[in-house]
Amino acid sequence: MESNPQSLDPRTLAKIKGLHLRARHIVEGYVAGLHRSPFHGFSIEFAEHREYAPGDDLRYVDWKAFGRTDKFYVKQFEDETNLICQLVLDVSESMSYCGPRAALSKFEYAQALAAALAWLVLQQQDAVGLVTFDQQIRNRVRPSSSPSHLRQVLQVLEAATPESRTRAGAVFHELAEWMTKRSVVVVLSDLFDDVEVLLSGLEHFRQRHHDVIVFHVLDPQEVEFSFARPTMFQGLEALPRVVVDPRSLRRAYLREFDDFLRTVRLGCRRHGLDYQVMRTDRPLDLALSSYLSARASRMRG
Amino acid sequence: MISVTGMALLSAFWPFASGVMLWWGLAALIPLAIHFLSRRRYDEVPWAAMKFLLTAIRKNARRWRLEQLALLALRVLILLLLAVALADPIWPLFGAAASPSGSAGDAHVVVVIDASFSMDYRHADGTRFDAARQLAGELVKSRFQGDGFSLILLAAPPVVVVGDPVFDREDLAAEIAELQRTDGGADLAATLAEIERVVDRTARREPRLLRRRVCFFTDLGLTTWGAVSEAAVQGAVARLADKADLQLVDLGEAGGQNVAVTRVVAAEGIVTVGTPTRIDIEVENLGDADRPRHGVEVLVGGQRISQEQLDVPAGGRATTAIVHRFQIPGEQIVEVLTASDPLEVDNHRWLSLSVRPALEVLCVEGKSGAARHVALALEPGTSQQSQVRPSVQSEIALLEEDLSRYDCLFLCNVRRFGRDEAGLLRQFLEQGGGVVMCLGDQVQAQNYNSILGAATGGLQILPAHLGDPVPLGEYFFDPLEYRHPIVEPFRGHERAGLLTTPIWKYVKLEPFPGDDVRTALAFENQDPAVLEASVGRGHVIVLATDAASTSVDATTDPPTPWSALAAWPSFPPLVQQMLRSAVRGRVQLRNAMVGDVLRGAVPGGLADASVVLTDPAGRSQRLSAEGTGSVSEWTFTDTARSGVYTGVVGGTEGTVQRYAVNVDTRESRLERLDPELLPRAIQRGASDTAFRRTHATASHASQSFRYLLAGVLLLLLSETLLAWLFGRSAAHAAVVS
Repeated sequence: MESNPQSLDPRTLAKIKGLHLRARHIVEGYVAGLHRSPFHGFSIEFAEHREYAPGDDLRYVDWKAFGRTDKFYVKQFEDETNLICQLVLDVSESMSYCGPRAALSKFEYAQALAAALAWLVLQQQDAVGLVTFDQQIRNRVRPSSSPSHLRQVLQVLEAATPESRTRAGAVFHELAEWMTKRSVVVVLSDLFDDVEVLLSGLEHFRQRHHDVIVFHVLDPQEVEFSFARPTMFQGLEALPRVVVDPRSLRRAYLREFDDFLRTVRLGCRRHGLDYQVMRTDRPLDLALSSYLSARASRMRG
Repeated sequence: MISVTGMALLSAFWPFASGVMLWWGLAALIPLAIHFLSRRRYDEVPWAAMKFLLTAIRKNARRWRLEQLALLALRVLILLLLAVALADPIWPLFGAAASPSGSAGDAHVVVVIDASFSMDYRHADGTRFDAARQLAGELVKSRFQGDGFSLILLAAPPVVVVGDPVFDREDLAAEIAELQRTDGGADLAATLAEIERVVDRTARREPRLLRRRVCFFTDLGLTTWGAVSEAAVQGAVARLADKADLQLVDLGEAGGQNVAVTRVVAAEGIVTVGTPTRIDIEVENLGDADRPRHGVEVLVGGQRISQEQLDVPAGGRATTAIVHRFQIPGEQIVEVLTASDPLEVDNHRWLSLSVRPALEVLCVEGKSGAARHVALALEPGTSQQSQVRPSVQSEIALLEEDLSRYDCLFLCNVRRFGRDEAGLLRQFLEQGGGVVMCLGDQVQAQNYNSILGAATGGLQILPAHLGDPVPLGEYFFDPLEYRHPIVEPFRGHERAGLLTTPIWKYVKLEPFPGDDVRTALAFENQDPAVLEASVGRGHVIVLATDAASTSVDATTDPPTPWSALAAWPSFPPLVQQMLRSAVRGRVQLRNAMVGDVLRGAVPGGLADASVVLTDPAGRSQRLSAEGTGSVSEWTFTDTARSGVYTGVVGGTEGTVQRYAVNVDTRESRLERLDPELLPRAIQRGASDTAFRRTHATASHASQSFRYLLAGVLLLLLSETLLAWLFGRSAAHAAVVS
């Protein structure tokens, strides 16, 4: 997708006070580029048939048409949905990190992203809910499609402060058990937890038939580790402090970090989750629209 | 602090040309300071992805620490090495020496310099002895103040120049600079014994000197150092090594060129005026290259009488002979010299000849007529100018005559000797005189044996124990293959009568064991007929039978004479040969080797009984003669130099005695001991020529700073490479909390 001159740079976004405004700007930027919902619904109006192809979900095979024509057709639906979108936002202390090259902390970036998504979903008259968590669930806003629901979501988002340790995997298991209706679960987190437990939690969502989108929010400094001077790193979430020469450590660190990213990415792919890295130095609307359009294409395809 | 302490220790145990430069070693603290300061200056950031950072640190901490230490050590080493290079260390030859400006020393250093004449071998930059003096001087100057020094010359005999240690380095260095080598060889065993004595004595007297070190400066000549294969020398080295560190500076090198005059002898023992005298000359090429047309000159009394060119092959010899008539009586010096080469000392050889108007012989007869035939055989009166002047006298002449006037005594059938007579004979022999004893029927063997023999109280003049006369019979001579010079002229002249000489009786001689006693002529039953032996500087010859016809065996009727020798044609040449052989001690008296004792006689009755002796360098000293009676004797021991020593007896107008002192040409050989054969206890301080070249030619003792600077450069390159490999700069990671 081409770069939109009206894209909101995080630095610009940072200057916008208030989550409501930030969300509106993001959504406006996105809407200017897309008009169709990127989300599949679970209760939707029929649009047309197409011939079955291996790999298609058997749930959508039109058996009546098969009875009439002796051919397999799958049903396709219009975009308008009444889906339930559950925003799951990580508010652990590690999300508060804001590197020198980013204008927003990971938390602020994820916060804005969540607000924008809530706005989008509500604009489609679908229901949106919100869960904030660190080592446990901190706040929970039940899904609703009422336009006034946005205010409540934004209030909870704004009230959240990153300050505790992460236990994302355990929380995901708990949420998966709690969400009874099939939903689109959007996870916004840096995923700094034990990878095995984390992936197990995400898989749990899939086992409960939720559609899961993982927005992996990362600071560019975490990805590139481009420190130049000897530095004391003060560990967040009760981790120790270390003094290192980052130049000598960079290669080893990046090796560890890349291993982590690769494991997460592969794990998500294995479990059929949508996975998207969101660097906090990238324009949020562009990142969002880029992802959503790609998702929409996949769904249509 | 480590650096400072290290430098202090280094300067305490190592000699440096510029010890003060070691302070630059403090610069080694800079990398350490940077290292520690850099750990205190850092940025602080909160960090979320700590888990990955800690994992990376945990997996790489050991490697980083090693890399960090390696780089730090390398940087410190570079600066330390640079400081050491600037200080210019003097290399381990001198062991635990130290800066001259250092603190008090506690070592006893024994400097041993090879003074044998092979050390006079000249290289482009001086002789080996010059190099030894220079290096020894540098060693002394480089030592601690407070160290004690002894100085010994490796010579034969060894010379202890400084025994009890001295502590003034400058004085000792000056003493070393004034040292003179000898023209002699070196006695390693004796020198080691002297060193051990000096070390032991110093250990007792100077307990403060805890460490001991012996430094040899030598060319490792095989003549001297070949003795290390002997058990006694090895034992001495081992004993010395237990007490001191032994080090050796090898100043020699393999190969070389040297031609030496190895032999100059006169065919005649004593030369008479006007007589053609043959002088045999031998030249030996001890180098590894042929010397064609090598010049040889012969001088008599400083005047050149001959000049020849000889082809001397490598490792071979060439001989020549000249015939010269000496016209002036007196002591003459024949000098032979060859063309110049790197070792000059052995290019000269001298021969002192006593040129007489005639040989003076005293013939003492114990029975009337006993010496008549001898005197006739000595001087037949056939020539106008007599070369031998015999004087026949009775036994009393031994006491009444001035024996120093005579060259030889013929004692014919003398009955017995008193102790005074025996003492005079002994003295006569000591001064190089010759004594010929012709036995006979009057000889009292018991008296001879007790007074002149080897028994207790005997004067050890006789070469054999005299037994009883053998029974009458027919005895003939066995020339023993004409090996001895006395009978050698008879070789090829069997008809000259020697083998047919009728002998009916003789005194049985039982030679004393030893190399000094030689059988010149024997009887067919192998009993000795003529014995010859060296006594003092003279020679004694004993004829077992009568030299006249005066001895008879009265047991038969008519009495049977002991022999018909005196009437036989072999008698005159036999007597002449005995005379020549007996008097050669006169020549030997005036010809000595370096290190020998010179002796001379001063006739009694002179107002001034002293001798003024002038050595080859022109230095004169007055010597007192000692002794009683008609002749007194002087001695001179300092014959370290070869050449002509001239003694003047009885004032400026007195008699001149000339002595030729020559080198022992065994030392002329250039063979070296294989350094690998040195006892392990002796450490070689330097590699032969390289050391000598660098140290002898440069005023500065050490070139090692060049190698150290090269090492610094190498380390710098290594540091750059390692830093690049390790990640461009020193790395460190430490968990603070």
